[in-house]
Amino acid sequence: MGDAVAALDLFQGTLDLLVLKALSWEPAHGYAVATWIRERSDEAFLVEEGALYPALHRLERRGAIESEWGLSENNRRAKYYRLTARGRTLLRAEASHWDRYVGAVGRILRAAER
Amino acid sequence: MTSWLRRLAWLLGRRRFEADLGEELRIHEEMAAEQARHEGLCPEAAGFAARRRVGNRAQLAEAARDVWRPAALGDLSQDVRYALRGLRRQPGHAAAAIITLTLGIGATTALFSVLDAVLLRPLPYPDPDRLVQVWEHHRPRDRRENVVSPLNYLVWHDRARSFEALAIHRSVGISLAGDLPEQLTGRAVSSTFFAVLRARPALGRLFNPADTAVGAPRALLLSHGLWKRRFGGDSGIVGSTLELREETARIVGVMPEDFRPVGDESYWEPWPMTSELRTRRGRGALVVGRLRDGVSAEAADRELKAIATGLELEYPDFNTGWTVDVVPLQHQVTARAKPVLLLLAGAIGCVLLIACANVANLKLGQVLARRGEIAVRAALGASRGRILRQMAVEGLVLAVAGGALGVLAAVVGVKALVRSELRQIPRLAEVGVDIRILGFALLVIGAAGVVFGLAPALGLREGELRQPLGRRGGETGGAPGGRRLRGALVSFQVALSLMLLAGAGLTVRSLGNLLSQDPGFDARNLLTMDLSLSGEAYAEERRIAFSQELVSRIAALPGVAEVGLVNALPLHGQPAGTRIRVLSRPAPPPGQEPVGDISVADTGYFRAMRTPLLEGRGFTASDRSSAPNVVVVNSAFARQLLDGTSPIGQRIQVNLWEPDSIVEIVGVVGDMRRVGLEVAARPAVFYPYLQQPARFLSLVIRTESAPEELAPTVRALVSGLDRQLPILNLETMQSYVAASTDDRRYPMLLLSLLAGLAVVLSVVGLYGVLAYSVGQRSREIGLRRALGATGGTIARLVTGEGFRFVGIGLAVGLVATLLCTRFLGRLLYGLSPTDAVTLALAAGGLLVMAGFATWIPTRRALRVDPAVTLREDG
Amino acid sequence: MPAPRDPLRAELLPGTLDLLILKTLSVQPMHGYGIAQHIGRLSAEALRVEEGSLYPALQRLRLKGWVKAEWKLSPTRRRARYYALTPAGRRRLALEVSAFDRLVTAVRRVVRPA
Repeated sequence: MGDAVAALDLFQGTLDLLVLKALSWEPAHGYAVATWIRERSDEAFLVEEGALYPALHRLERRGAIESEWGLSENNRRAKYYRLTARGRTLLRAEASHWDRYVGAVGRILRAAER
Repeated sequence: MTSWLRRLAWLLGRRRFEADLGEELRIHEEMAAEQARHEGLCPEAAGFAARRRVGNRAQLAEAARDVWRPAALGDLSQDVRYALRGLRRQPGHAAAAIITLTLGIGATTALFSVLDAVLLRPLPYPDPDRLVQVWEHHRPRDRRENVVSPLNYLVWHDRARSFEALAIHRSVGISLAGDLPEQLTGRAVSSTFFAVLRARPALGRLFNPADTAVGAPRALLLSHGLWKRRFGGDSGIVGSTLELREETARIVGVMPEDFRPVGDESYWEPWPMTSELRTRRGRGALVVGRLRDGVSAEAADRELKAIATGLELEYPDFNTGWTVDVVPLQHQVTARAKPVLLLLAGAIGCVLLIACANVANLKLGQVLARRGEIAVRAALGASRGRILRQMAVEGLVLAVAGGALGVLAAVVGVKALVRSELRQIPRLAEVGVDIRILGFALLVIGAAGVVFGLAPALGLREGELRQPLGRRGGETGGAPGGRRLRGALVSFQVALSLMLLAGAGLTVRSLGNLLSQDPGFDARNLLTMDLSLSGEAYAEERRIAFSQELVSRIAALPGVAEVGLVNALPLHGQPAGTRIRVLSRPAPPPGQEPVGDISVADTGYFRAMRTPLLEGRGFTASDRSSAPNVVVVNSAFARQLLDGTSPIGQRIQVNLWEPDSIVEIVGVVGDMRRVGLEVAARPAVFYPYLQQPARFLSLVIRTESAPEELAPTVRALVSGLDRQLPILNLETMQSYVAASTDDRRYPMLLLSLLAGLAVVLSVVGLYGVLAYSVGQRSREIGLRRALGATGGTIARLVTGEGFRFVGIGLAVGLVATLLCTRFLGRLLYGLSPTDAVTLALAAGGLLVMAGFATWIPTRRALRVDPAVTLREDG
Repeated sequence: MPAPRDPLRAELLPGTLDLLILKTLSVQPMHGYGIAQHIGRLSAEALRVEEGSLYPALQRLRLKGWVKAEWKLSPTRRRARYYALTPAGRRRLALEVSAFDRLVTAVRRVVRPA
């Protein structure tokens, strides 16, 4: 149905971008990625597991990130994700694409009303 | 959601829609082709390009149609999964909500099962609305629901045309012999009895005329309960013989499990309607009838009343002043229990509302805290309708979880209730949780779920969905709208709790008032036992000898202070009642003769009961059968029959055991409350046991210490004297006093439980709201502190809010209480429904509990560090 | 997004599509074809509207009551279905624009360099 699908679609594309950006700092496990996004966006984006992990797997399948098991801060087993070279390229591409897309939309929005 | 209306409009105008869309796409294609030609393509290529741009028309049309069609079910499962995830993230909240709902829904379902079986469902006989009960009614004394005389019954049976069948039945008892002697209560029934009820046996057959022929063994029909309990449900029981104390009986059949017309009967035997019955005048039986088709109960009532008028003239000495009432049986069975059950239903309804309010408050708090998340979803395109639907689904998931557990608890609870065999609940055997009850439970669950799923949404208007994006949930005051709504919910809870608490308090005090009523005897340290000296083995001489032996043996036991015998113990036995004639007074007109209770007591009875002797003397050993006939009366007798003059030496005539027997009054004892603690004593006449040795007695033993301790010794003593004598009802007098208040005690306990539950839930609700409020206002508090506010000011801020909610709740609750406590009706005793002391206590109690609820959030508010909160800003 | 991305032209996602349609109609009432042309032109062809998304989107906006449709004669004397904003639609447009702005700000905050 229209709206729900729309929300997920847009968020999916944007989410990939946010995740790539999060991992551009340093390798992290899923929970840390969600926390980073939340803090960095000033609580505006609360990413749920249901969206985050599919995004991580999608990016992994595209070769943008790779994963390996490690120990977390409280000595628990956790899967850490790391940006690959391909990922860095993709990040730049997605960021610029997003900018252009948003810019185009913005231009239309700012067109004066008659 | 007016989009639903538009969807409807679309459904109605489908054809126009399809036509319009088709035309529109065609035009679009044309314009695209024109553009392409304008850009230089040849017409054919242009058309091709245009068609390609529009793409698959069918698919497009389908997509357009999909917009209008109501949402698919797939969304629902998505909503449910999302809701479950949300619950798992906040297990504390979820647990609290589910427990609250389990209690509320479980209690409601259990009560509804009882209500349904007792009040709503028709009686378990074919065409039950045609069944009636017939009572005699003494007009001058306004004594209704009086038992019936067989003579009158036979006349009605002969003359009345309104009935398809009429039957009479009375209470009887037998003693089972063997290793476990047992006394059973049953009913002797006329041959029409089973025809009236249209009952069929589960095993064997009903009675036939051969069963009452001379020389035939006693025929018995067993109840299902007795059959299971004593005979192990043996299906070969039909036709077998049963050893009684005096004779052998034959079992002709077993009745079905739900056949319990009176309630406590274990068996049925035939009662042949002999002509000899027409000479017996006593009233002691019950009559049921089945109305003829097309005849109403009112019409039958009129007919029998007319016949009764005739009977007054035919038998003036017996029937003057007596008339007849015909009452539908359904009404008869349920009338007494109805008000209390409805009251309890109201109380449980209140608790359920409080529980739902708590869950709504919980969810509202959650939702307000999650506004950030919702704002993003809204920004990304989820419509308000979608979000609302999702919240409704969350509410429903909670309701289903709590409801499922609640129904389970209800089933268990109802089973336990049925097994308890509480006498106060008529038709208890029919109570069960069935499909209809489950349907009702589902309805409650669904309604509750939607209500508190959506209630929080009321606090979220369209604009609010947008705001927090960009600022960390940051408001300086906390959404006042949300807090106000939550506060209103708390006030609502407090009001309901006050009502329940006041109601419970009134019933508790009423019971206390009742128990402190002087019954006319000292019920402490009294052990009682029933004896049935029936059969040829206990002829008159033997009865006297046996009871004297028994009394002296028991008196000799260590720990025994007094021993006595009576044939009808207060609050336990039923004394006979009859007319009394005071010889020194002029004979009153027929129908206006005074009536009193007639009992038999031995020399030690009044001393054992500690009932005072007010005048004259008690019975002595010289009041034997050869001596002049004497009686003792109570002071109600002196007041009502003799206008207070001394009864000593007066002679009265009593028509009970011997016609026209005249006796002399030798003593006056204090009044004893027989029927119930709240019912004043009737005039009573006591015969000495030695002159009227009754067969059915109660032994009364005043002990020096706990009466229960002496029970085994007494039992052994009685068995030692006669092994075949069944030991009946070896109980303390206190237990009878308590049992007589049972029909007040159970509602009181239940109301108190519900009130307690309501208070706990409300207090939890209040705490939740205040804790949230403090959390939201932490920045404001920090600011105030920084600007110099004292701890006292901050404390007053929080407690002021708390007590404002409570105050409104108490005010509303007070009004509601004043309006509603009158429905306690019969449960009240000795105080008015608007008793100020009770109300004050209830309100005070709530205030104290509210104080506890505000204490913790206040402490938290006082601990807010201005430095921390200010730093978080900006 | 399965297909390889054309760096020059982006498919308009349904969420933004609604927004742009509303904005377009706030200038003046238009028919479907005109709306598509307008968006393409103003975004300098960076955004492309698929007919397969446009018409369902217009239905959606009608269902919500933000847009109303009417058969009229175009300047070239051709009969076409014109769409116009309703007052509710105008309010919705304002909300969507501010929401979009906030969303963009939030994403930029996450994706900003350093």
